[in-house]
This record gives sequence, structure tokens and C-alpha cells, in this order.
Amino acid sequence: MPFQPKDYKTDAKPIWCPGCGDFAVLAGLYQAFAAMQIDPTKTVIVSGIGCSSRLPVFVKSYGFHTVHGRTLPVATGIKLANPDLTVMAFGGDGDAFAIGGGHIPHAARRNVDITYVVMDNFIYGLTKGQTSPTTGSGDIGHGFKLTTTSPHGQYEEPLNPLAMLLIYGASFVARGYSSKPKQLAALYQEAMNHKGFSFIQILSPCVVFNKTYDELDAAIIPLEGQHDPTDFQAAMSLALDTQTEHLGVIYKKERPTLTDRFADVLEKSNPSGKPQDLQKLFHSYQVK
Amino acid sequence: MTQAELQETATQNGAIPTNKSNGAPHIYEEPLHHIINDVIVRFAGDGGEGVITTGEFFSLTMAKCGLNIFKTTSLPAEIKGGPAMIQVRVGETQPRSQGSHLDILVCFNNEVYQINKADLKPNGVLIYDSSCEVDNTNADAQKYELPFGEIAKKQAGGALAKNMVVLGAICQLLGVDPALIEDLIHKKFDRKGEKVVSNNLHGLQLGRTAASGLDNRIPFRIQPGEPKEILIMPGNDAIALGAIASGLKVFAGYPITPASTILEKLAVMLPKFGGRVIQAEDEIASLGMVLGASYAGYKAATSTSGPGVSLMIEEIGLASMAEIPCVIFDAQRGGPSTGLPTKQEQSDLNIAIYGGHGDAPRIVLAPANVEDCFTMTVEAFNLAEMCQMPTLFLTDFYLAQAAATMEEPDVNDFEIISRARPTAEQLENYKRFQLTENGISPMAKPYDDATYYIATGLEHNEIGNPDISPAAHKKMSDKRHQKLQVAVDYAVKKGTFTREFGDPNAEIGFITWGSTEGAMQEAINLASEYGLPAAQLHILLLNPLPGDVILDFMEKHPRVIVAELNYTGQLAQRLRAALNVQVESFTKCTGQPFTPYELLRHIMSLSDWDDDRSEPVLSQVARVQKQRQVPAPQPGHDGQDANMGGAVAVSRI
Repeated sequence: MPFQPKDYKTDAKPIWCPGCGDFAVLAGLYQAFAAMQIDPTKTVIVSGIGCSSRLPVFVKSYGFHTVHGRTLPVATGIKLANPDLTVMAFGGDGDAFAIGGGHIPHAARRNVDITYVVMDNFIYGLTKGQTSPTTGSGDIGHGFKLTTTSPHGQYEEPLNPLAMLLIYGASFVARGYSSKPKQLAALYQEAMNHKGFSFIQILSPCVVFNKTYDELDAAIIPLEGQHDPTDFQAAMSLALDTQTEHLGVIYKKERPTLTDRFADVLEKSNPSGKPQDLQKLFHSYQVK
Repeated sequence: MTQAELQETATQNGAIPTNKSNGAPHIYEEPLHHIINDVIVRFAGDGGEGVITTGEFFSLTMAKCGLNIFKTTSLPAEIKGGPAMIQVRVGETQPRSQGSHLDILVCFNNEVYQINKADLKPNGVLIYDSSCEVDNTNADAQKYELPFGEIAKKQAGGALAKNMVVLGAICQLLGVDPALIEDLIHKKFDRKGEKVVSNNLHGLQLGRTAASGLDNRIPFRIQPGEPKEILIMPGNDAIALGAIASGLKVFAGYPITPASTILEKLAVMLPKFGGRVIQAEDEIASLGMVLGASYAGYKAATSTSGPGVSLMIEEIGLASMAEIPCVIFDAQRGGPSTGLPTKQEQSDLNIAIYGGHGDAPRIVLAPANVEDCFTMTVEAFNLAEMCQMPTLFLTDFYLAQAAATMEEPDVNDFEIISRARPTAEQLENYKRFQLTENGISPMAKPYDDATYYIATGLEHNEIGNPDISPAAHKKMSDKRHQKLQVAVDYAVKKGTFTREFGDPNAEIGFITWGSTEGAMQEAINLASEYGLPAAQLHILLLNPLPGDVILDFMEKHPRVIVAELNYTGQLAQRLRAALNVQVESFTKCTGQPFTPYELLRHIMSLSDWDDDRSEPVLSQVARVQKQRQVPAPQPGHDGQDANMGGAVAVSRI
């Protein structure tokens, strides 16, 4: 009997508020796992801290709920240790772009073969409504709001996640929306099948502290065939359009992954492939 | 005791006092009772002058003579240029510290002369380039001016040959067979072509010629013994080898002085054994990768220094909470903040034991010498894996850059322990954090173990799901702390995590940790020669503490002093708090290691020796004592030299 989406559901009840976009993000993941017949015993989902980072608790697979912002180093370590594992990383916009922002360029340029999903709600939800690095400024981006930590106005411009990831050298960049669950399931599959670092920004509104469904519904434009995802310039133009949320695969180009590179290192270091003798290494320190 | 009586006492102990305490220039009378195979030499120069190469060649030559060496290097903070020095201590048995004062100081230029001149024994040997402005500091020293800069420039084809000129001179003065060095030159330079080899040989010869005829008054001699199979092992390399022996699979690190060479060595060596080494974007990422790799079921480690440990603290808590084995090598340097990146300090004990929020049990180990860097690294992995806990390994600047001769270990001699994995039966209804008698629960390996679970930094239940109930927090806190007892039991059973030394009946006992051990042992040896007994307990496992061993030591020795290189007496405070005992604290916080001399001084002051009593002895100890080595008996002689009265060699400092 093949895996059904419900087979990936754990007994733990999600902590999310009714109407939270994260439910759809999770449902889409179950769908994608079933479609790909993912083996839960050979899969690890890593997350940071935040509402969205609770996700591994709700998925039947190995999971590692780490500390705030360190999702990518941990996921990189897992893949480095055992490249046969399917490794996914999940986090929110604060986890990814504020505290964890320093790790993204390096995961991207290493092209570590994992899928990184950022559930972006333009706000800190778990800590109850503070400004996030993607909170719109009013002029730029979406989800503008006077938050508990910016009561007199937004004094910063939001980060542009897709443009960042493109410049950092991510080999797969996509955007999805929690209100488009079918597309989400497809994006997951395409990202997981991509050989290399795949990044998906999923617009996943918070219904309590920054309800953006109406605004996003008006701003989204699904990409339908007219975009060539191997065209970096075209991808960058889409990313730089800060008033429109283009949905779909923005960019995709394969290049050697971290796993490939390390296979080369091992090959070069030990061409015979036979286990080396540590005693011989000690001999090399002998005074001759 | 009068000066004369003191000298008499010392004479009975084998140290014939010099008759030069009036400060008159000292001339060695013929024939000499040479000090054989026992000398401390420092080469000082600028970073670009080849001073380190000189020391390396000298070390190798001594090892080829069948002797043991301990060498320390001080590199300038500048990338190139700036004062550098390498100090080589030579002995027939393994020297355990750099010693106190220098027997021979070799200065390449005036700047380094000014920096190093006070470290030479008053009647030591000073060999200096003609550019040095030698002053009264070394009035009583034997001084040899050799224009090695000039010789190198004019006769050996350039200033770069200075190192070989110096090497030739020093070996001539010590009576070393030049063939040994020539052989080394061939080994090192043959692949660079005939010209390089002949230039180096020429430089060596020029140095020998310049020094010939000067050597008859030097009180030191090198007499080669049987060449033996021996290694010259740098501390950081020993750590890298220990990690490989332990089955390390993933190593992630970020460059930092003085830990970088662990990362660099492993980058070369670990892939040969199927492991992967990655340079992370910062120390937080380093430990994050390590935790990921270990979660995936593979042994993983990182190396850093104090600033990096500060950054890793949150993840050390995660490793403790989520019970993920990992090893963190901390090559301590002077702190806080950026501190003294190239200086010695033992001040990361507090952060290693206590660093972080919440109660986060972890293992803390500290090696004392280069062998420990290998054997205790193996134990660091063993304890981390056994207890599924972060293990911090506190090496230090001194050990990190030191190298010493050591016998080659048999790599099959070491017990290698890996984490407990669930049995088929346990997999049926798998509970990752199952409550057990000793707190240890089997850890499933993704891919290989047909189950799944969540590891989390949140408080959790036996399955691993978040659970912040009072019962869960109590039970899981118990579980995590119970595992510390497993570590103590293992350490005590093994018996290699503490070492005792000295007089078991002495009133005074010292407790040491880290690389301070050797200097303390020498001080205790010296003190005993002056009728001052003392004992030493050296602790390698600093958390959890082997409490019974420490209490037993305190029972035997009513007055216990903790000697350590930090400002606040971190281990002393730890012992008082953890064991409710009274210990005294003796600290040094100058960026320099303890010398046996200053520890001896402290033993004297503890023994109520006033300055009138201690100063003459100390000043004698600080001098070259030419009769330390008994001359070989004449054929047919019964071994009792009439003049020496069967004297024994006195410990050297």
C-alpha cells in the first residue's frame, strides 16, 4: 500500500491559529511527500524557532527543531554527513532573514542539496506581532503595518528574499502562496527533485497580527509559461518587482552540488578508495 | 641557615654552588664537567629571518641524536616581520615544560635581543649577531658575537642563509656531528635542486667555521645516544590524529588563533579516511553543522578558541537538551573579548562548565601535554558518545603551538566507544528519550534505523515531542544530569583522568589542570631537593569532577593550593562550590605560562622561607650549574669521583 498524504500526519496537533497560512503549507507538504512516496525513515526536516518552525513535529519523518536562525547550518551538517538522506529546512521570515540571515548566502553558494522553505508572513507571530525583516514599508513590499515595535511608523525597508537568493547563487528559487495549495504541492516536488540548493518563499499570512490575504490576493500573478526560469536576468526582473508577487519557479539552473564537490575531494584525497592506515599517518611524524 | 650552610646543603644534593655569587664575571675552569644532553636554547629573530626554520632544524637534529625535545614557538602578530622566537628544550627524558630561564640565547638582531635578554640565565650563553647592542643585563653571561648577518650576506649568498649560519654555529658550539644536519638539509632541499642544497651546506659550514675555537668554554654538550624511533608531534596535530582515531566523520570549523591548524590538518588528513571537513561561515554555523552531522548518526567535532566558544554557547545548550554528542576543541588564549590571541591563558574553564542559560550538563576535559592531546581526544569522543552530551576539550595556546617528542602509539590500543543505538526490539515502540536507570537512551540513526523522532531544544517527553509540563521538565532534567555520573564512573574506573605526583605525605598539595602540570612537577622535584616536600593532583576531567579522588587528595594534604593561569582562580572557585572544600588559589594572568622557577618560589613562600633564605637558593637555581651532570667514570674507577662525591644530577629548570 503506497503512502497517502494522511500517512505523514502525526498525532501532534498543530499549535497554529485557525486560518493560519501554515496549515496549507503543511497540507501541501503531505501531498508532495505522498506524490513522491517519501520514506519517512530516510528523510530529515530541520527547523528553527517560530510558529512555522514547529512544522517538523507534525510530519512523520526524522525531525530536528533547532535554535533560532540556525536551520541551514544544521541541515548542511546532516546532508554533509549522509548525502543519501532527503533533507528539508523550514523556518519563518524572522528565523531566515533576521537572526539567520548570515547563513543563507553560504548555503546558497555551497549549493548544498537541500530544500529550504521560508514561510513568510511579514511579522513575528510567536512573540505576538513585532516587525520582521519582510514587513512592508508602505512604499515597498507587502504586509505594511505599524507593529508593536514600530508604533510610530516603519523606519526600515523590507528585504527582498528572492533577489537576495538569486544574487547569493541559489540554483533554484521559487515563490508559492498558501492560498494556492495545488501549486504548492507541485513547487515542493520540483524543488525536491532539483539537484542543489532549492529555495521556496511561501507567502503564508498570519491571521492575528498581520492579515494580508486580501492584499496578497490582489498582488499575486502566477507565472504561466511566459517565463524562462533558466534566464537569470528575467528572474531578477521578476524578483525586483516589489509590487507584484509572481508565483512559480522564478529561477532554476543546475550546477555541481556540495555533495558532488565532496565526492571529488574524497576521490582526490584517496584515489584507491581503500581505508587508509592511521598508523602510517603516525609514521609520517617520525624523526628520520 | 647561612649562605655557606645553604651551599653545603645544596652540595650534598649534588648542586655544587658557583663561587661567583659576588657577581664577578664567570669563567669556566678547565676541565669542565659538562652538562650533557640537557639544555634550553632560544632562537630569537624577526618573522622573515628564518628563525623558526633554525629552531625546527635544531629540534630535528636533537631528536636524531636520540634525545627528547619540547619546543614552543611564539610568532609575531604581524603576518610577516615582527619579533618571533622558537625555544627548544632538550633532555634525555621527555621535558614536560619549556623550563624557566634560558641556557643559551641566540639573537638575530638587536630588537629581539632587547626583548629576550632578561630571560637568559645570569651566567648563560649569549650568541648574538654583531648588530646587537649587548648591555649589562648579561654582564655575567658568556657572550659570543658572531656576525652571522654579515657572513650570510657576504659569503653565503644572501640574508636568507642566516638560519644555516646560525645552525652551523650552535651545533659547533654544542659539539653536534655536522653530518646529522647535512643529512637533514639533503632530505629537505634535494627536491629543490643542487644549488639550494649547496647554498645551505655552505651556510652551515660558514657558521661552523665562525664558531670553531669558541666551543671549549661552553658548559653544554650534546652526546648522541642510540637513535630511536620517535615522533615530533605538535599539540594540534595530536588532536587531529586523535579525532581520526575516534572515527570522526564530519569536522566543521572557522579559522581562529590558535586553533586553526586543527582545521587545516584535518582538511588534509580526514578525507583520506572518508571524512568531510568544511570551513563554516562562523562558529555558530560550525557547531550547527556538527550537531546536524551528529544527529545524522556520525561522529562530528569543531575547533575554536574563546571567542568562538562564546558564539557557540546557545548551541551547546541545544546539544545538551537534545542529547546530541559532539566534541568542541577550545584552544584557549588570553581573554576576555579578542584579548591576547597569541598568548597563553587558562581562563575558559567557567564558560566551558557553566556557559549558557538553563542547566545544561556537559563534559569538560583538558589535556596537559602532547600525548594527552591524542589520548584525551579519543576519550573526549568516547565520553561525548557514551553520554550523548557536548564535550568541551580545553587545550591552550601553549599546547596548541608546542611540539614534543613522543613514542608512536599503537592505534589499536585505544578503546573507541560509539553511541548506543536502538535494538530491533526497541525500534518496535521507539522512544528516543526513554527514561532509563542511568539516563542514557538509545539514539536512532536516520536512514539506517527504521523509525523517526523529533530532536528539539524545547523541553520534551520520552518520544521527543514538545512537553513543558512540570513532570516532563523534572524527569528530563534528572535524565540529562544522571548521565554525568556515567562519565565519572567511566573516568574513575579507567584511572587516567587524574594523575598524582610528589610526596604522598607532604603537607602541601597542589591541584593543577591543563598544560600547567609539567612546570608544577618540575617545581616539586626541585623543592624536594631543598627539603621542601609537596604533592600534586592533576585533573584532566573538569566536569563532572572526579570528586572522590579530589577529596581523598585533600584528606592526605592539609593545605591545598590550586595553581592556574587565570585572574580569578576558576578551578579553585569550582572546587569550593562543587565539593564544599577550602582550597587556596595561586594564579598568574600575564599571558605567559608558569615557569618551574616561579612555582618553586611559591612553594618556598608557603613553607615560610623568608627572602633571606629563599633568594640565595633561587638565584642559584636560576644559574647554569655546570656540575649537574656527573662526568663519566674513568675505566677501572669504582664510579665515585673524588671531587664529586657521587653527586647526582639535579633537576633542571
